[in-house]
Amino acid sequence: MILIGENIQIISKAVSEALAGRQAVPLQELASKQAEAGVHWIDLNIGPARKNPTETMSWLVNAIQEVVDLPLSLDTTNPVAMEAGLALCRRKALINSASGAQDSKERMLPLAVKFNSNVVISVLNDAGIPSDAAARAESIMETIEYANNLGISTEDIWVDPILMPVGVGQQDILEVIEFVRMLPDIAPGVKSTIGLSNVSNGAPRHLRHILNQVMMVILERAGLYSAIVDSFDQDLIDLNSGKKQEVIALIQKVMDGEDVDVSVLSAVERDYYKTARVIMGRELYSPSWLEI
Amino acid sequence: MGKFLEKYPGEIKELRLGTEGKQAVLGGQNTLPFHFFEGRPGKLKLALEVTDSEPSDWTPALQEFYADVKSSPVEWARKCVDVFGAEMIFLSLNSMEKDLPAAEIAAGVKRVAEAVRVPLAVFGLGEKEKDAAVLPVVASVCSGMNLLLGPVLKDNCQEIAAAALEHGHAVIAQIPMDINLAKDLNIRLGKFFPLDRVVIDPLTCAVGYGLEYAFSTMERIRLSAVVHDDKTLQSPLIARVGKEAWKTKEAVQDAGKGVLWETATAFTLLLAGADIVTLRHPESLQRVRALVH
Repeated sequence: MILIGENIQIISKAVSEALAGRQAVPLQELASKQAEAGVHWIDLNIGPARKNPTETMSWLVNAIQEVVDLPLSLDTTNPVAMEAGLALCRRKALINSASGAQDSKERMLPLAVKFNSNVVISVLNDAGIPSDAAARAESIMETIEYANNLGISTEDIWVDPILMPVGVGQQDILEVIEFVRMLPDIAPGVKSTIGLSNVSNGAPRHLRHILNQVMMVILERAGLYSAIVDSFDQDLIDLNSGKKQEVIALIQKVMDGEDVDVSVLSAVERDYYKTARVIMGRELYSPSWLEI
Repeated sequence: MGKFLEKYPGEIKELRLGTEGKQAVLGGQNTLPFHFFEGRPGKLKLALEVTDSEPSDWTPALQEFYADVKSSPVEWARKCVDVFGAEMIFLSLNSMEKDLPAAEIAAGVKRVAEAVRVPLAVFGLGEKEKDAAVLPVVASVCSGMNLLLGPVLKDNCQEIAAAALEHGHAVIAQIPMDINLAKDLNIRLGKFFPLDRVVIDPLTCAVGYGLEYAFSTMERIRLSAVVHDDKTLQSPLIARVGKEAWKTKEAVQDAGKGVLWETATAFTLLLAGADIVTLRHPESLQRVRALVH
């Protein structure tokens, strides 16, 4: 799976301060370390950038391109900042993100045409986040058609099903998995991506990684093309590069509803097993799901 | 006929409260609320609420109604059982707000427990430090009386539940209207406390004030326990209705409406899966009982 490193994001205090003070070094280090960790894209999340949108994104894109050669995913809800950043990207960039909401269709999607870039299109529309797989499909089909008509080619579209936290709704995770499975049939040729860490939002901090990892393995099996991830989760990177085959096999067994002999599992394997059961909706989530 | 009926894998264990001669049982169902045709229904308890010092924050109509007994928790509790037919007394320790010595509060609880022939639930303020200081003393002074003590929160479950265990009481585990947190607290408790001695309080709202959230939480907890056999949620549920119903604007303005509000809220939550409902007005209790039977 293609990994997009999420660690340069405005919610982080260090990033926010460095960005506000135009201190390039900490941000460049963050980009270089993510590249070394092995991700394939670098996400630059500057939030809504209400003050100086053009100057902020331009400065950041230039600063990051000085130190890494990876393609950039520009992450802002502000079309002015987005446009300024796209104009400077050396490699074909990724707009993160557009959606089926009217405002986004009118202001974000045309930028993908203008700069011949890739674009994340989420299933969000003016009615909100669709409630199940079928409603997601309906929403994305409309937006893809709109994007195609603008001149955006299908292979440049990265569909985002929108992943909700496990503590908010386990059923919704199953709908996302189902949607990812049906995507090649309903929209042949589109790519896909997802904000992976959202699944563990609200979960105990020290347990977020295992939720993210299991979610990634399951979504990869379902056919997801890429994910926006915590670059510094080494186990996640390892799982993605095919190490720990026994863990992947175990998670897939849970996915397929096969019987697993828990008594022969190691402690680590047991944690993956329990987490996979929670993600697949077989066990009701609680913040102490590993302790039963 | 039998082939059309569901058999569920999970069940709520019976919970016995009170001592020899005045024991009562609740829970014990292996089916959904009021599915008498399908399995063994649960044993419900309609409780009346009593406060251990004068209920100065209760609406004036209720204070007037209990004017003859409200200054004596023992007399009040007796009247609720003997005259009004309460199946359980829910004693709110509002004296904790005045920071009375814990031993004094506990002695008052013991007098009430000895005075009535129904089981007693004893409820603190829901403040983690104060409850952790007082409820263990209540547990100890009332040792062996098999009370239902609460609320036990995530942050004070060690102190309170350990004392309850040592002195033979059951506990009320309270969480803010969230099935995942209900499960979490029961997992924590289950490490040292028997889960068949836990009652879950997922918090309650009155009709028109968010009842649907309370309903949905209770319903999902009960479905997980009975239909999906989630062993961590197979506890009876308590709905503390009186407090919520009698603070609504309707109840404050008009005691008649208050009774209707309390009755409608309580009955709705019994449908969602509540095993204990706590009420403040005996007329509500009569009405709920008439609906249930």
